[in-house]
Amino acid sequence: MATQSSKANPFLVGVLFVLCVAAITLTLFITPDSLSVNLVYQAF
Amino acid sequence: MFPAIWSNRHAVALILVLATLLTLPILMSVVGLPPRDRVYSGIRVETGMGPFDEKQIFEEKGPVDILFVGSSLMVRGVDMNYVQQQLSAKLGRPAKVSYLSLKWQGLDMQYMLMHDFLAHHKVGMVMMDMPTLALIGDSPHIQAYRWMRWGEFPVSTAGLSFRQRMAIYGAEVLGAPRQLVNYIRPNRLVDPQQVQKLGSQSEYASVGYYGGPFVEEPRTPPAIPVESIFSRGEADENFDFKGLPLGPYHQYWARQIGLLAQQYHVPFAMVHIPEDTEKGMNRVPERMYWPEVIGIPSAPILGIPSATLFRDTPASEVQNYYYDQHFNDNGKEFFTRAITPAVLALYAREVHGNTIQ
Repeated sequence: MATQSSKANPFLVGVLFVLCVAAITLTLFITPDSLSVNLVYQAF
Repeated sequence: MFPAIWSNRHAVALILVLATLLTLPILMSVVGLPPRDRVYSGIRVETGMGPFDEKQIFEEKGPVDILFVGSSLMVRGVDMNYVQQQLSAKLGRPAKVSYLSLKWQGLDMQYMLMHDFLAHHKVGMVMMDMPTLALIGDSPHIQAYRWMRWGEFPVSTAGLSFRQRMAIYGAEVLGAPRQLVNYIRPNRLVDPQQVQKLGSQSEYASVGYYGGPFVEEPRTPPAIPVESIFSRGEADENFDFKGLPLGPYHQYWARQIGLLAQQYHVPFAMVHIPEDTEKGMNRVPERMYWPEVIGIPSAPILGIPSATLFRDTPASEVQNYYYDQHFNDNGKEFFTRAITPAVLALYAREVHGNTIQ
């Protein structure tokens, strides 16, 4: 039997996938320099 | 292979974490945002004068005669103490001149600072320096994630496009965890002396051009007729308003700034701070004809062409007035003394109805 990459309910995996896509999509809208300022100055 | 998601509980936990982070700006707005007077001191001092702005807006009381709002160009370009001193002498009473700024340019930032200040103070006149070519792109200010919070000032963002609102929401998601800390404890206390130093950016006072040696230069500018400092419409020969136009996002905020000035019935004017790259120019370069963009056709623009400002300065010495595109103290005092008569004349005209002398 092939190794499974997830042992969770496929519906929950689907929701998680959608949220990950949403998060990645959102980063595309963020001013790129905001991210670099955060990193350079450890601004959090 | 070890599974990426090893149980339903693991999946639910990951979903909760991601969903909470993505919706945190909205959740905080529903629960109740931390006080706005903690927003600016959350900005690291290495990246701007946030704590100084916060002090000016929320701690200092009383009316202000002139409020300057702008970028670091303005902080390094205008000696506020000198303007205040001259205005006091002219009015025959102690005058109050305040200024607000954050590093990097952006009209969303300038709108927000102006909005917060006008909500807490009576202001006689607002002066602003408008974006130069240093403003690259058309997205929220680099520090927007610090002071843009979901649900605040909804009217001001109502007219933005979906993409622009997503950009703001992205910034809010980025900043929400830091805002969350404000529920638990106030921001660290910053030493008042350090706050004042942040406000003046005095570390650049005696710095030479791009790391070169600092050379003390004369700080008395040539006599410049006051009326020549004011723009006289889009075709003014001393100004060039045909620069690179701002994108829709920042033009939107320019219009909001105009509306804000009208809402508070506060006279609004703009001032151009010369950058090093303007050396030798006979006209003041502006990206757009601002009175039209902000929606106040009568709003004056004050500016002095670099060639006029430095007409008595040998070309090889002009750079001694800058440390990069910003003025060092040579330039700051030189320019302030040149522009102040026009600022005072404008104040007299806008606030007291006197004509320019």
